[in-house]
Amino acid sequence: MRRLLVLLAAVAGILLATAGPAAAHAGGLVATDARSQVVAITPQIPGLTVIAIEDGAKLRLTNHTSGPVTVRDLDRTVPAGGELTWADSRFAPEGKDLGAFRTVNWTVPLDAAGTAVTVAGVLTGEQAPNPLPWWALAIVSAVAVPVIARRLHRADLLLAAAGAIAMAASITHVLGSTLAVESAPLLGTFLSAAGINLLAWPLLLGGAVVALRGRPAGLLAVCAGAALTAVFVLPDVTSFHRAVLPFAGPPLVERVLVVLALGLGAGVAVAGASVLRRLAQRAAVVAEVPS
Amino acid sequence: MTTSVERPQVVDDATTGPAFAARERWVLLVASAWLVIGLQLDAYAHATTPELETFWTPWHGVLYSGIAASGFTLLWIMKSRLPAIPTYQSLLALPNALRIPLAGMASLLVGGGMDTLWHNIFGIEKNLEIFVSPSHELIILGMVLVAMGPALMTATVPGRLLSIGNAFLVGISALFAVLPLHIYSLHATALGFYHLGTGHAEPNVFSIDGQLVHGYLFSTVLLLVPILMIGRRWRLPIGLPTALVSIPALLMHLMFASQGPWWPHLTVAVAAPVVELLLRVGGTLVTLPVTARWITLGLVAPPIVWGAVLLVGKIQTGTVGWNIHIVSGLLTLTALAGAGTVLVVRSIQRLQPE
Repeated sequence: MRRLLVLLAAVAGILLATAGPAAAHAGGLVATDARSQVVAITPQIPGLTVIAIEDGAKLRLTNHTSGPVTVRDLDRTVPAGGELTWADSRFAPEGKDLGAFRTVNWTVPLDAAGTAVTVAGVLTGEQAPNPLPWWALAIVSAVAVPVIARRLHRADLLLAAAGAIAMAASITHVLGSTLAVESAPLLGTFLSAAGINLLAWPLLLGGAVVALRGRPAGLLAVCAGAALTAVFVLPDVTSFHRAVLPFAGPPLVERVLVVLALGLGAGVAVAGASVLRRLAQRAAVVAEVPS
Repeated sequence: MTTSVERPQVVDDATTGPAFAARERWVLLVASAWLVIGLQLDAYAHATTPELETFWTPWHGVLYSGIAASGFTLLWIMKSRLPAIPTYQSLLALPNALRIPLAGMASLLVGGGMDTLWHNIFGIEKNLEIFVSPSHELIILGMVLVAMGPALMTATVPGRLLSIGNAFLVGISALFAVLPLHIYSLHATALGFYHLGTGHAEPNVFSIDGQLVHGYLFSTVLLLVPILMIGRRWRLPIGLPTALVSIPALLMHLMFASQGPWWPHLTVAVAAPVVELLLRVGGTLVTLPVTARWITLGLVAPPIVWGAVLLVGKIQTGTVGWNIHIVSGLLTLTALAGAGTVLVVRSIQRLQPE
């Protein structure tokens, strides 16, 4: 327990040193129903590139020409050899409800050392998934844990295992969300994306270790960590409803991870009530038996 | 239900669990102060730097680490009060002094998770939206309940008198519990940006003037409640009521009105000790039943403090911005709000089993 407290204190220190604003998601990205991409730069200027990053949430201009390039709408000038990444509501997919496969063209005017340049792009709507199966899976997972736990003698092992799976899903989800961000430092983005999970994961891991060593009190930490995991993956249920996810991997994988973290996290937290009560009752019976 | 206020029942959790050590109370005080100071710094930063949402900030660092510090402290205090195999029932059976801050921590964490979901679906709140966002309400509620913890724990110690150390602890705890509410009621406060009327000859019912009237009323209630709650449980230490009025006023100026003149908040801060002195001296000269003394406080203190603000405002700016109807009516209304707050707070009884 002392080691667990030291570990948690270290996590608190990391939070103090690095905590960032409560953005919508890692790097401020959100799930959307569209992608944005650059299709042409007219006229083409050697050394000048503009690409869409993070599924079009931002544009990145790289200036390898010999003169400055100005983004007119921003009134920002990128010197020779410089780079600029920015977001603009006209080309960003966030909040755009185009309908599946519909497209909207956009343009961004530049000035390359006196030459007018137009960056042309297109926003393309994507087919949103049916959210019901995903919600059903999450609910089934959440219900299954307490139901199965009632039938097991060593339900504490089930809760430790389910908690560990929820934690693994949560870590993978945070890693995938971090790797989807190209416009912010990796470590900072990871810590920001992890947020309160930096407390939930040690609770789950430390609690499971303590519980498996024969001290059932650790199970309360597992339940607390599981509840936190479920609460802090809740914002990402948008992945059940939207097509383009801020995740470095297949959307299917992201949805499965959210289902596991949410469903198993909630299930363990709920099941903890009866499992801990039974453990306490058994311990009381053992204590009453005269040796 | 009884409504006698002559002998308010002392809440004593000492029978429901082991007493709280001074170290536990002070550590929770530091942790909850850390949490609320993080909120204040963040509020100040957002008030002065509107584009802050896009940056990593040390203010958020203080705020979030404060959540962690408060959470760990509650875990530490809870640990020795739980059986070897803790159950959810044993958590619910903890004394109120611990259960309430724990509920606050739960509210804070659930509110935090909800807040991010809210941002994902509806975007980030700005201006008035901030004060009516459900997730923000849960976060603020959580902070208030956590910050109340040290005072509630001290309330489990028998006796009507506070030692100097405990008076500081209870005062600071009450201060940090009420500060988030002052910050969160920026849309209806007399301690914010506006203090005087607009000067319109016929002010509209729905207007800045109307809003400010409600601001004076809400601030009256918010400044009185902690004083009344402490006064229900202990004999009020000298200077504590002053601190519970003056310090929030000065902090609100620093957080939200630092670019403006000092006189409104400074007037409140100076009027508070004057009122306390008047009432204490008056209390020695005129013997009144306890309830009458408290009602007198409610009737007298608000109009004196707010009247001083209006008077200094007139001296400073040349006008109060309101006519005699509004000035006199507003001060009367604050007196009635004060007396009403006294009656409500001092009439709250412990729940009886049904």
